[in-house]
Amino acid sequence: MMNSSQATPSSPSSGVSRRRLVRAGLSAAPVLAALKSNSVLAGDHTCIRPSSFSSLAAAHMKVSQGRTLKTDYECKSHGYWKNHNQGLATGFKKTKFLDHFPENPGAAYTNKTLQDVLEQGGNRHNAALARHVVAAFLTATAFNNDSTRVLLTKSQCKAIWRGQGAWSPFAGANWTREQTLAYFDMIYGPAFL
Amino acid sequence: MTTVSAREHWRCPRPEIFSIHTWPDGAVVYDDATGSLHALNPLAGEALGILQSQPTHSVDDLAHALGLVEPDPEDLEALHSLLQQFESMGLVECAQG
Repeated sequence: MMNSSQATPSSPSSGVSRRRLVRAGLSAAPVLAALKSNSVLAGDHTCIRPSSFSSLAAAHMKVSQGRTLKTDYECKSHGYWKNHNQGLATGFKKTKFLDHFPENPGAAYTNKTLQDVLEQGGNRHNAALARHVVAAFLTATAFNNDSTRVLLTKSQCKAIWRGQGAWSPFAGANWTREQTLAYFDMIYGPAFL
Repeated sequence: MTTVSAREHWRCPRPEIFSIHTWPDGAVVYDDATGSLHALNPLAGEALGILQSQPTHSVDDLAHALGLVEPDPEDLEALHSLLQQFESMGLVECAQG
């Protein structure tokens, strides 16, 4: 292996040959090939559907050559919805969580509004999942539940909460709560939990 | 006449994110930040390795580190072009002064 950076020419002839070597290297194209990363994970807020997440997870989050992936579905996080109301009817976030999502583990959600759920911390009684579900639900609501635009529809959000994270995101798939939370981690980033 | 400024100093801003492996006929650089791979000719790999291992270099410093005892203006110009190409690839950055 070449280690010429430490070679100090000790004679005129070695200096000349080193100069020739360096000039030859500089006259040639320095970059012989470049391979750009094909990872879809550019950071937090990568808005891909559950079906895409499943196939990417199987491929170690690499997109195969020639495959295009839609990553721009609307997917505003619970952090966003804590402080915004855009697209929502006035007072919508003050509606009761249980009016939309009847499951009430540990009676922890009695009298809680959607806003309360967005603001709660920790993970008692599946609070982390609840935050994500409310965020996805509000996004669906704000964009008229347009399945071509939103990450998850209202019915999908309800299905997720009904199963407490266990649900079927697409035909033939059954996700556990851990898989669902991993999906939300990828969408919103684990820092948001 | 060279256009290389002696005030330019080049450095690898995040040396820890690059892995460089060299062989007699070339070098491969892996950029951990982007997941990209670059195959370089031996001299380019050597130059990048010098920049990665030491703080900053003027073009003249780099020429000497590569073993050019008395670099010609043409040598400096060619090295400067190489550094500019590295800069466009996000591997190094240039500071004036």
